[in-house]
Amino acid sequence: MLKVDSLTKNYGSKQVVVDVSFEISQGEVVGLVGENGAGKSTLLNILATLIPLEEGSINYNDLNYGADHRKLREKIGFVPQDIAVWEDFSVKENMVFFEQLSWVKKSRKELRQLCLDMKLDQWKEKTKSLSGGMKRKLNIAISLIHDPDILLLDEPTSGIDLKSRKEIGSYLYDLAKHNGKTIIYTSHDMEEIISLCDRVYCIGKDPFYKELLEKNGKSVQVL
Amino acid sequence: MKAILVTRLLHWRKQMVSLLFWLLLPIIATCMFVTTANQWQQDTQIPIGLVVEDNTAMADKLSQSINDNPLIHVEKMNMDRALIELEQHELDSVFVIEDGYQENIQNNSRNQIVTAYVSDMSLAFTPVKEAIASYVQRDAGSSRAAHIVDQMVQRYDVEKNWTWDEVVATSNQIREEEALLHTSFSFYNQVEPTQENKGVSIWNIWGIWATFAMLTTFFLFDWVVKEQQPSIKIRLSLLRMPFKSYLLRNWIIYLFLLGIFDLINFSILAMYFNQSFNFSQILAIVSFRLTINMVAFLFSLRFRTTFFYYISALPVSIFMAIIGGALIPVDGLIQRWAWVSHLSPFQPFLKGQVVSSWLIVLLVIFSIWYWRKERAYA
Repeated sequence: MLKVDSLTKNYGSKQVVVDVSFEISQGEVVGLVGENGAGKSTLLNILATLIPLEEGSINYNDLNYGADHRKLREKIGFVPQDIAVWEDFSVKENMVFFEQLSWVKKSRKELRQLCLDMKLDQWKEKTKSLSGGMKRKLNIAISLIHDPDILLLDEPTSGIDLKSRKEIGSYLYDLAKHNGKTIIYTSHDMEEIISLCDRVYCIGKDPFYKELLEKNGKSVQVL
Repeated sequence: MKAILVTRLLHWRKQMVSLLFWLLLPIIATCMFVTTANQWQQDTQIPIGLVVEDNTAMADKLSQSINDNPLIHVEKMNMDRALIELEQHELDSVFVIEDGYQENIQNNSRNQIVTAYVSDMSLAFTPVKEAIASYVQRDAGSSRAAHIVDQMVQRYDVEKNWTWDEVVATSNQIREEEALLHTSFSFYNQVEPTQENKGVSIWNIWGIWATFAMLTTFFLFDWVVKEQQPSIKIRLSLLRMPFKSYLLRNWIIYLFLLGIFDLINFSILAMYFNQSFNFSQILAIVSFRLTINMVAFLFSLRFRTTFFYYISALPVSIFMAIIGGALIPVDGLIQRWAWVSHLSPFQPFLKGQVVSSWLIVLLVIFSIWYWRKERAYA
């Protein structure tokens, strides 16, 4: 169980995240929507332990975000909005590179299987020659090397074709429902949010997303 | 550490050509630079013709002294040939060691013992004439000393009787030991110019090597800039080891790699240019390597794009090399403003110092960087 209580984050005098509280259970896929600058990425970065906690508390099972951030990183997989891979490396080299520095050791076979599960089969292909969709899949696969309990994805499918988006969505859904991963997902694609997420949190004051999602029968909570 | 080495090797495999280029640049560039400079120096020597008509030891010695002058290119030839080449302006001037040179010197007769021929294009005649006159004067002085000793022996009826050769030999020995008129142009920590390396002496080999070593280090340390790209940094921050620890371990790998190449470079340079090579110099190289690796690392931390990093690293390297006396002598500058000597890590290296203010200050800054708490958890 991931429990966020009264979380607030300021950048100088600007309040980016204000008194946010929510709970997410294991195996849930939760969407995070809101207009640009609403604080989605900041919230995701705090949950990923990349930005220190200032006000409020976050706990994952028995682990506290303030005190145990190193241990928490072992449990968290973070997929950044930008594709964070070595362009000159092949898919295999990228996987091996991050596996070497990862929390767990995986064999080449396991790494390859992880890519194949995501329908990324160009194992020896240079990353820079991959399509946008394949790069996105690699970006996610690297974050899954250490088999994290929580997966935080910051617009993981932006700028890619529908087929790749469907494949990624389907894989993530299986990951939550069959492997018990907790997934928090930000996207501007409402169709994707509706089809993939169990619940949706709307961040920011703009009611646009809430109304749109409720019109499509999705339960939305405003943070 | 093994994991870091594996990941670094993955990078190096992709950059093998550029990595080898930068690793080999200091040794290749230093050898090329010094060889070219020496060649240029030889090409700019003043060509003179030397006609030796006296077949004696003293004439041979004078001929050898002229030949050893680093600013003069001597061509020995007969009189007719020498005058033809002088007329054709292939020679700046012609000097003839006349028959009876040794006899005249020994008889204390200094008139017309060396004859000079010039043309209307003999631009460097005066300095060459002065140089040769000084060699003749040296022989004449020794000979005159022998005459005076002989006269004193006869006047005071001394039992011991020295031969002319003994007095001349002793006179030459004293002159060489005292080296009253000797001066040389040299850089810090440079061996005395000798006949074998006289062409090299004007260039500070270690200074040139250090300049290229610094430039190379800056260019090799672009990995810090690349791995600090925000997207990659996020990923590297969430891995098993903290991001700073990742950077530090990579820095150590580069320290070893460059350190090994430094020692190879130094061995080659020492042999190739006949330079001295001892244990204290090895320590000075290790200290210099530690210093410039920290300079490059801390400098590269401030950059987000490799382009600005490269164009900033170049002037910084050149400035440090110049102010450190690696490329031109800065003794006068330092005598006037002593604080200038602290502006570059080249100064302590060229002086052969192992512990320098640069090393200490950089170690402190490096430690502060490593232990300082970041605003982010990374």
